[in-house]
Amino acid sequence: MITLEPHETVILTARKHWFVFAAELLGIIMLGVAPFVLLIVVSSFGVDVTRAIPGNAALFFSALLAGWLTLIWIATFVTWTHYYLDMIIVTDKNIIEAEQHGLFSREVSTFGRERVQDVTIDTHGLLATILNFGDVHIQTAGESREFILRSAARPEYVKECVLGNSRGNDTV
Amino acid sequence: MALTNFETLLPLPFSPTILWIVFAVFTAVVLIMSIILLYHWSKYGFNGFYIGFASTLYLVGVTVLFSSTLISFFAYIQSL
Repeated sequence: MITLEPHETVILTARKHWFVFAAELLGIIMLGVAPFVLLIVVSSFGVDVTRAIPGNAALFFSALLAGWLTLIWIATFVTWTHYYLDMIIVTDKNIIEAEQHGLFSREVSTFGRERVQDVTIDTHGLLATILNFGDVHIQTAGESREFILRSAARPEYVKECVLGNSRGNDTV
Repeated sequence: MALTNFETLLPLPFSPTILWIVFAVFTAVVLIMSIILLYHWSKYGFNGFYIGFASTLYLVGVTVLFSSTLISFFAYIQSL
């Protein structure tokens, strides 16, 4: 759980760009409609799938498709959870990095803002340039590791906030 | 092989016992994943509004879809 110090104020909550989530969501949606497409394709070849099903085939396929959509619904929210819980929180005192590696793997690091030595941003590709997202690298004093928020929305603004050039409660 | 002989192409196990086992596994997966997701949101969520909205949306969706599966499954078992 992320807890703030007394009187600590959040300046910025930065997550990955919505496009990253949308791209993953598109994959899940395609997976969701796949059985429906498969049924249509199989039927178009003249295959009567219902002959292989004892009992009421319509009810069987209803149960199968509703079950499949339930799993797709869960997968959508697992993806959203990865997206939503992976973030950098910039406060007036600290920078908190929460990395959600999977449902059972999470890493939260906190370091003082005075330890920030350098912030660099990497924007690669046409989409990243048009939609304005990129990787934000934060180098700190006395730490061998580098803190990275990949595909961050508005990376220039995140950099300004981390370096202390912006004030106010904001979310990107 | 004629394409219309689907029952010989893909022999499916339609014993009610097997169907019940598959449904029990499916129910367990839905329950466990729901508990894991709700636990993550309540423990690690940082913005109460978005987490509350996501939880409500998830629970409404999963209840509707799981109920549809349950009703269709029971009706199908009765038709066997």
